[in-house]
Amino acid sequence: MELGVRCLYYMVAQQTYDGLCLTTQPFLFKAFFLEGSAISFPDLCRLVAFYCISRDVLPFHLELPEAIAKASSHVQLESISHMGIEFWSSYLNNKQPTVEQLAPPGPAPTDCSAALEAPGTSLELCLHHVHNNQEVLCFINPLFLQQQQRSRSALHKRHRFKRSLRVRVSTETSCNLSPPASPPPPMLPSSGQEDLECMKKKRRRAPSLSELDSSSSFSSLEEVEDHSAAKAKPHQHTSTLKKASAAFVSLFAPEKRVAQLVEELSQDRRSAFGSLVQDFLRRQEEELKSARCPASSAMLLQGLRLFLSQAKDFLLDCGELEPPIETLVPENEKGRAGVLVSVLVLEYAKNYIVHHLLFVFLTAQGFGTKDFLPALSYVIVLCNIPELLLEVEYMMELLEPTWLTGEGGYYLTSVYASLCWIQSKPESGVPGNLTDKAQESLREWSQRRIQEAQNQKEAQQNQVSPKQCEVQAL
Amino acid sequence: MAAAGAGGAGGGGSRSHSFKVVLLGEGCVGKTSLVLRYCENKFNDKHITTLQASFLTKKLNIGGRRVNLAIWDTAGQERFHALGPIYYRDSNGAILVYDITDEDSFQKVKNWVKELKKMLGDNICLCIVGNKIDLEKERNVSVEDAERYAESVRAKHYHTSAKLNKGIEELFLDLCKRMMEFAQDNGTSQAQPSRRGVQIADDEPPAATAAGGGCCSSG
Repeated sequence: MELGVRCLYYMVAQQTYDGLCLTTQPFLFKAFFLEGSAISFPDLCRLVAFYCISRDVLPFHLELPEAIAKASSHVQLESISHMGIEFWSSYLNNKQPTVEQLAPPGPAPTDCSAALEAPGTSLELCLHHVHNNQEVLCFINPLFLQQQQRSRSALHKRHRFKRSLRVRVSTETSCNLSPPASPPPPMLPSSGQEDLECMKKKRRRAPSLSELDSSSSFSSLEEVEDHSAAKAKPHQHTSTLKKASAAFVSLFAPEKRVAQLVEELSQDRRSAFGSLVQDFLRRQEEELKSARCPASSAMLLQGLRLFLSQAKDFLLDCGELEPPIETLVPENEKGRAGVLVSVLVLEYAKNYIVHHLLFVFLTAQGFGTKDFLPALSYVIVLCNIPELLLEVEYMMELLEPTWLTGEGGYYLTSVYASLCWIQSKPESGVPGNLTDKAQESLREWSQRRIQEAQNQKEAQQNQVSPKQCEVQAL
Repeated sequence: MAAAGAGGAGGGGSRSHSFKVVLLGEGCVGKTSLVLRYCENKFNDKHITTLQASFLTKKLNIGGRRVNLAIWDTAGQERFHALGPIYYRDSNGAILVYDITDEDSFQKVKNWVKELKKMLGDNICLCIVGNKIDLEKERNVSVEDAERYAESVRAKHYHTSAKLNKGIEELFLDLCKRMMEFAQDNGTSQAQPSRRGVQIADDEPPAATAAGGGCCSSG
């Protein structure tokens, strides 16, 4: 069976963030995808890796040749690599393996015989096969696919392998009939299938409860309350209970797994995303050390916010997150995968609860909109939380802008307004006149917004349409 | 603003819109009553409103597109006027309400318009609303004056009565349509991420990609 792989060259407007300066340049990048599929990948390795996990438009999962799948060290893989196309005819690639060899350790014998009774239902694949001498050996690093857990060394190996790779993707129906390592789910592009895929992946490594806590994401008050309830549980049967609850929670919270993967990726300098994040952090550090540090905290936060938005877009587009985000987070949730701000979000959630309580209290007293600000200001003064101002400023600047227009955003804004009001200058005659600092920040914000609108217009005009040229690869 | 009409329904796609709309105006002109009537079809003569009215949402379907409205009510008292910008930042639309029996409240609307223009330029859809038309007999702001003024600042003018439930659906529907047109013309709807810069740093330089493509050729 041949896989039609296409390579697309995109011309896009690249925005380079350099300190506080944003420049836009056209930039060429490529994407590989299977004919008929909407999912594209920056290189063939990722394409193949993806189709080993998910079938998408294929009738079967791709599978690695056994020798490669079983190789446990870099040296072994390197030696296979050196064999080139000889590999396929070598003893390593046993063309007639026994059922015992092929059967995955788990399933009962009946499973195997069932698979054998239906020839052609499974495909050993991946990138292989030599019919004639023209074809080129191709394989991918199994450490990447079969890894029980994503270790740094595995990532490193994968990266090095990627560099020494020549690729030719083809499959062949005449190849060994082996039961697939995991039976393919029913071929429906429904969310049900995605869920199944998700569950499978999650079983591989469930995040610990502490990890979950640290990367908690805010979606609703109920969810937050669930968390606090979970935390309040006695710690007697911790290990099993913890594991079970972690696995359970992770099943229902794909965004947490995404957060974890993103965090790992961001620390891996060898990935484009990781180096993007690490470079940014290094630049920030250098700026702070040198005298060029931003004039105000707001400017620093704006720079950070801009970076977060860009990094998120990059992450969604670059396909470095494995498995791709599409398989982890349902389509409609993707917009919410602002995983980079997950820690801040927890703060946000806490504040939301405070607001909510305050809200109930006020409602019970029959207050109206016009009383809300004075009452809120009164409560804030009573509470005496000096760090509140800084926290609110951080949240106003760093949260995903779309979140700020929601209900949580409304109450956050109200707290901010109250704080401005509390700090306002009563002596200046005009009641409620804001401090110079607050006024300046508002002025600066309005300029920024007008500038942003202009930039957007220009960027739209400059953007070269994708599909500049299409190159058929296979 | 109505001039933007031709831009409409061009780019297909089933994306939904999310808009933020802020209510501004002097105290007691009926801002909260308007939004409560619109979102919950409630009206309370005694001016006792629940706090929930501070933030309300409404979902609409306009021309096959889903629109989520987040309506932000603000405190109308003069002493909080300076806080206005904090509330209307990042709004897609503003509804400026005055009481047709109160000339002073109309002057306050003019102040708001001036301020919004100064802070936001033309990046916001403005609606000027004369509320309480059930009190037509006590009218103190002439219809011509109000409409002429609205036109001069490129806002649209509406007459409403929260008490009689008049003109409110039309006001919000019209505003939504204008915001959708504006979003399409400017690409500033919340549905599209506000800063969509693509930044790609592939391992290999573009020159090498051509070679890569060649390697994959042949059937």
